[in-house]
Amino acid sequence: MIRRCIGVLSLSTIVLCTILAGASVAAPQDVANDISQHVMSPFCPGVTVHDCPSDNAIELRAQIAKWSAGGMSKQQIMDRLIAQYGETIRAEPATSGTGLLAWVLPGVAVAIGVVIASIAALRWSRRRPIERHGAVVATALHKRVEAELAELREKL
Amino acid sequence: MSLASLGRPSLIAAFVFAIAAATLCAYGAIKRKPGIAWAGARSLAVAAGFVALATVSLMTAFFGHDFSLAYVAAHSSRSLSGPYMFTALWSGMEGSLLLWALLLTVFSSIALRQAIHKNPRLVPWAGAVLGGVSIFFLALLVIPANPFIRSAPIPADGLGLNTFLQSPGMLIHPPLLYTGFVGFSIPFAFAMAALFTGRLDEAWFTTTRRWTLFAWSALSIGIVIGGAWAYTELGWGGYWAWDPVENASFIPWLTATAFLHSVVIQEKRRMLKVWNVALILLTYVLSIFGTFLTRSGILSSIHTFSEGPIGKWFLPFLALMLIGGLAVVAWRADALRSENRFDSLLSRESAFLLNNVLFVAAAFTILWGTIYPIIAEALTGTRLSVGPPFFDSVFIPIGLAIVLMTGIGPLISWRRMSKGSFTRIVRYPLLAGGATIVVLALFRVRSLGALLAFSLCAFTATAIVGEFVRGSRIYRNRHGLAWGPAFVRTVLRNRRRYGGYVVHLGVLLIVIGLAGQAFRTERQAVMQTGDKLSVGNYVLTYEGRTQSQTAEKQVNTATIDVTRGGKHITTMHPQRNFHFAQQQPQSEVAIRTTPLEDLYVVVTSFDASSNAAAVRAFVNPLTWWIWVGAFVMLCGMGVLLSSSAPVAAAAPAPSARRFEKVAIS
Repeated sequence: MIRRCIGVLSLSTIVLCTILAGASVAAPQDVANDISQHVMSPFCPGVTVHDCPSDNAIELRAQIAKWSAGGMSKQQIMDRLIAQYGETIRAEPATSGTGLLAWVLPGVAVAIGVVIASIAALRWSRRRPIERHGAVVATALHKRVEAELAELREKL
Repeated sequence: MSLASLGRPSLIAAFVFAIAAATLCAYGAIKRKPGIAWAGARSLAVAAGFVALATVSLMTAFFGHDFSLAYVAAHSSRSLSGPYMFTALWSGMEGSLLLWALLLTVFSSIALRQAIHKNPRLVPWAGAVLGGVSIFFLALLVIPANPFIRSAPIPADGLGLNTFLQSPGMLIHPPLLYTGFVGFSIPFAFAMAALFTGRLDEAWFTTTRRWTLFAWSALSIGIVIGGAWAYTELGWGGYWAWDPVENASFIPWLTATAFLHSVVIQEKRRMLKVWNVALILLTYVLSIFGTFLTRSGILSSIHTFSEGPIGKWFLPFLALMLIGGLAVVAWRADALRSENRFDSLLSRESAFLLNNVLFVAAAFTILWGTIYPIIAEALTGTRLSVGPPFFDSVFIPIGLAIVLMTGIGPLISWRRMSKGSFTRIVRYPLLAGGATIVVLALFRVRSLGALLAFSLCAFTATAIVGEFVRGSRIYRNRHGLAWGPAFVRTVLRNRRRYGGYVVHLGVLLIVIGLAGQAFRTERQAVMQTGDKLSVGNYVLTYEGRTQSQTAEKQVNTATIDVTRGGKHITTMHPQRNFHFAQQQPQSEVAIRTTPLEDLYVVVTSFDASSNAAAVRAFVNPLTWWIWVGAFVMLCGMGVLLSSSAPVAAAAPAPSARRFEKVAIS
């Protein structure tokens, strides 16, 4: 019963997410705000045009809003900005060429981490005969006894 | 002779005493002469005294407007007011390093003194490591980053403090971050001492448990206060921009959080010893690396690194810490083997392990994004930018998985749990998470990321509340207490466990606040008097500007009337001021905060002739919960810090005890 409830619930949520996560039509100023968050400011190092407080960045934001209101698509505006300021204006690396490595490596690292942890957990959790387990504990115990004896000797 | 003239001699004396401390501690450790090592620890306390004297002398120079010191002239002015003199101390590189050295030597002296009774065998090596680290930072202050360089000629007034730093947040944020970074040097030094001595049981981290928690708590709160400062001062409507300075504090926080969790496994099950030592090593190296990144100039371009005054000093030190630390770990690999094994994949140990992988993966991902522009430039000669969209894309999925594990972890018992028990215990959190998605979807919430975040928060919050309910029910049934007293007794009797849950609840509130940003609305316009601007459900009417002047600045205040549905809500007064000493304009944000949303208004410029104002207005939903979450976290940290440290590792599990008997017999 519980499993069935959970199954139905999960299915309904996935369906709802799929339906509702669909794209909606955005106002030109929302498009401009969105673009300015994907463009690094040529005027303030390390921050986006959206976050840059300089007057030049304010002008650039207004320009982007004008282009957006004039009917240019997000991609057209991005292309124009890249042509004007160069590749460094992209706030995220391209998914090709040198930029690809930036995207791929974190995914690979996470996958490797999860695989290693899974293998380690599987190996560690494998059931072993009592004798062998006893031997492991005995070795550990032996080491502890040895360490404590050494400490005692030192004190004496 | 002025007090300021004592600064440099004090630093040189501190440097000499740090060398003495490291040498005596190392000699005492090698020759097993605790008396000599203790003399070394006392030398470090003397070094702390001299660094304190140097700090006092620099502060005296600030308060006395002694512009004969170049650092004072560069970071303060005659018009700077009292408390911000302290901000001026850490507003530049030299002063920041002085604060770092002060915290390091003071913390080290206290930690060594505390440990001399608790764990005398680790103290000599820990003293040697802490002394060595102190030598490095004091060498920086004595040679390339001397805060006591004289001005020539002496200016009549200083350049003043950056106006953005003249904020209460900047009085607290940097010292808290430094407390966090420096605080990690204590568990790091004791971990190294454990490796050198071969005493790799739980002693090293039980001895420094409070220091680790203290450092982590300071770093956590420091990060949040930094966000609050950015939100109220910088005027872009946000609190986190994924810039390298922010990342430099967040990366070690992630590994330290992983360490705080994984160390519990070692304590309970004597497992993950290598992992724990490696994590604290990594946390400390990343703390230093963050400082290197932000202070070396390498982030503006790889070519500026060697031009920076301290970059070339940091790199060998970092290499020594990392390679030396890893070499010692490798040397002790045999002694670091786990004494136990997982009994089942469905166990809290496994959940903690997965949680650790996620934290470290998050740290690596952010580190990678932060340094990728440098790597790309070094490899191809072309500079690339890695900004917020990259970090949001790669961190949010990992962050959501961490939130999920925060809920699952406490539900699973140690050692093993049957699938039936797990299904029974997980059903209510699962239903809460599912119901949240359905309800929000019915309210036409469209952001998939926000839906998942709210749902996972509901899942995890239900799991945690369930833990409190189960614990309190035991006291109710046994002692006939009401829910309130039963709850209090539950928390007080097991502060470590329930303090941790309180911290988790705080984190969930922060996640809710962050997820609210998916629904942020923003509008900007140049407004003439009487113009209206709609943002979200609000209508802002610009009613004009007033102008006044103080000794430090020209103040331009806009009056903006706010209505919602035709009803007056409030009147807001954002400012755009001009600071004379710095010749710098600065916006003062006006914020109307409610639990549901913030209305955030900033004036980016005024037109002098027409009084027109360029206005940016944001509606930031749920931001209030970020600050509430931080406060809840702080309460949880208080509970955790008040808990007593474990005396020794937990007794072996019953089955293991049986095996021991077998082995002994």
